[in-house]
Amino acid sequence: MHRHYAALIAALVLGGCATPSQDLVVLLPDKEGKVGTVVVQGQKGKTVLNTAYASARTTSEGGVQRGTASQSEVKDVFGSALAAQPPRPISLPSISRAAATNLPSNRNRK
Amino acid sequence: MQSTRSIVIRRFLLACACGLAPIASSANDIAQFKVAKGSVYLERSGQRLPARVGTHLQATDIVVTGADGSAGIAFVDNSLLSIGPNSVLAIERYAFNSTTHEGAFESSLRKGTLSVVSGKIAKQSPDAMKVKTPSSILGVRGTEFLVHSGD
Repeated sequence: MHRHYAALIAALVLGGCATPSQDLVVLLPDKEGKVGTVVVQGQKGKTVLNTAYASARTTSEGGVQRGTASQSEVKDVFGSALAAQPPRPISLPSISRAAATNLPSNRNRK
Repeated sequence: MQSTRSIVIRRFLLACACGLAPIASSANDIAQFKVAKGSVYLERSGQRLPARVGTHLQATDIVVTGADGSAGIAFVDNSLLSIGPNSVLAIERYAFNSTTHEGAFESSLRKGTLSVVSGKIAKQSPDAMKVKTPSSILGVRGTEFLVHSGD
């Protein structure tokens, strides 16, 4: 009986070691709808994500599978992390050089 | 006379208190917790410290959330990272020049979920920001993305 338990525990431990943790990476558009790039490098392959909601999953063999994540999947898996996002820093609109030269203080210098 | 001396002593103690106050945030601080819900801890030099809104982070800190925990962190280069429940996020390397915006930002999601809004480091230097997991390395070029690592 004890031998069966020992074999089961050994199988679980070895099975756990043989299967690397699987990752899911999803690229999101920013607030303005722009999308950047994320390169996902697995143990035996890599993929480039550069479209909105493009996803990459690492496989148990170490490869990387490209796909597309649905918004509901994003909400299900990442809802708590997204809800904890800090507020974005406020960036003041940049003033163009032409607009800056038309400021009242600069007009007087002409 | 006595009252004058006590006033001097009070002023001296007040000056000392004002001088000591900035120790709470040091030059090594790289980020600050903006959101901390449920169980959120910070592992620093082998010690486990509770993390609250306003707690500062230093390079090589590890952020841990419990089953009911989530946290949002704002870094000095405006990178925003947030993690969900049952997550472990290690800051492995952080350097940022506030004048040139050059730097390096390497973190490791050992398990759980992570949301990233990259900041000035990734914008200034492509490939300067990396996120590692136990089975992959992500190179970031100015963007927003999500990572789940684990079962």
